[in-house]
Amino acid sequence: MNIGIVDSPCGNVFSVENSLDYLGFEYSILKKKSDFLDIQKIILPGVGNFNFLSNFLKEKKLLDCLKQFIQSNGHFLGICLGSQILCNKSEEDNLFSSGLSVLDCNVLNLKKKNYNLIPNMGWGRLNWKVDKIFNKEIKFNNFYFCHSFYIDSPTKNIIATLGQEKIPVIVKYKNAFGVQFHPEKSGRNGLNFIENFLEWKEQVFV
Amino acid sequence: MFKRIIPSILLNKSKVIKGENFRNHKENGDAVSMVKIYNAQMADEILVLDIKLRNKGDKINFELLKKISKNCFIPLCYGGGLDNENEVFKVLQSGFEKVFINNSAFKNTIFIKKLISIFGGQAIVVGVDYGYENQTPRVFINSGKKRTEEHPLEYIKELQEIGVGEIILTNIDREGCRVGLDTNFIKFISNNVAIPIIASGGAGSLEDFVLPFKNSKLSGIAAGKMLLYSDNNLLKIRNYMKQNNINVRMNFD
Repeated sequence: MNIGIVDSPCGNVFSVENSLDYLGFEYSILKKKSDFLDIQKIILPGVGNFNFLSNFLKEKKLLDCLKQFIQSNGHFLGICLGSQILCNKSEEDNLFSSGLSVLDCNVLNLKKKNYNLIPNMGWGRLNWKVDKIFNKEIKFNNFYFCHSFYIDSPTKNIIATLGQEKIPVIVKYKNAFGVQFHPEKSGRNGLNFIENFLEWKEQVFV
Repeated sequence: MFKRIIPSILLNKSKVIKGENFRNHKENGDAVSMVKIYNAQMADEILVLDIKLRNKGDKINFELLKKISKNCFIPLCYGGGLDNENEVFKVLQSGFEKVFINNSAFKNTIFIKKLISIFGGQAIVVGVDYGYENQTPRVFINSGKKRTEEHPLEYIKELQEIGVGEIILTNIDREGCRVGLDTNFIKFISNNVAIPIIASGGAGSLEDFVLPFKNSKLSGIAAGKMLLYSDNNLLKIRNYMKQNNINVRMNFD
């Protein structure tokens, strides 16, 4: 099984690499279209501005690659901004640049949820809407968050939410998962999450 | 969200040190092994500050930062010697998610705004040091040496306005002294702003990790000396907080 991490100028690529090194998985860094050949699992790390990542992927002609990969049931994990890019547009750049549009929704400012501290920073406990993820029983619930925007996901795509405000924090489309938290920075819980994603074999319908 | 405990590690050009009231720094071991310990003890994140990088030409040790992040799967924040956006970029590329800016923020909000526009507010933490002048709190700069006329609340509101992600609020009279946190003032600040506040300066007992969180929006507490020099570890603190009904994450969840 070939694993690819999408190269982006975002800060957490190195941390995602660290966690895969620690877990003992081999991977390649995806920089251009031809790197996507024979890749079965893709992780898209992301920290920073929606417009920045969108432009970067567009310039490198990776936006269509990723969309095609997801539409053909590829196993995809988008982290933080990498999950928001699954949507149409984001309020972060006043709905200017385009995402992958596999989730039919936009990314909105947390102010819309009357969130009392922005950015939402620190560890939070997930409310799961499923019993299993990646075909495994759910063992851990606490993960690290750091964001000011959230995916205003259609209910059918929501796997887990955060807080009383029910902010969607794990979303799913086909075999593509988007997580708002940072599994690469959520200690043992996060490493376990990444490991389960990478070891997950079948197609799972939730 | 859970309340956070954040060990802080002070470096003198890559060597771990600790002093009191921003002075008398003594050498104290190896940063990489310390980070490993804090990581294993369930720190919520770790703050690494190289406090002696003040002069032009002082270089940030990016190799050390990478060694630290290789051994750490929790959030990391770095501060010290950050004068321009390229250095911030390189810190973030080294596996740290946040940078801590202190002096340059007070003198230069244009710099902070620029960093926020490039990296997002969530990556920019500003340190606000304060002390008392005739019982009136005032912002201090230059490692606690120079008093300004600004009230910390006014300054923090200004930083909130420009989109800073988080504030580390340090009482300079208590820093490194383990005499207890400035609880009332910490609560006053946290309850009057809308960005996360991390309190620092004076943590010395288990009680210090309970009182500031009662009826308060305070997000976390940073501690240095208490974890270095006394028989307290993060697991013990965490359990004490839990027993006292503070919303803190536990290792089985």
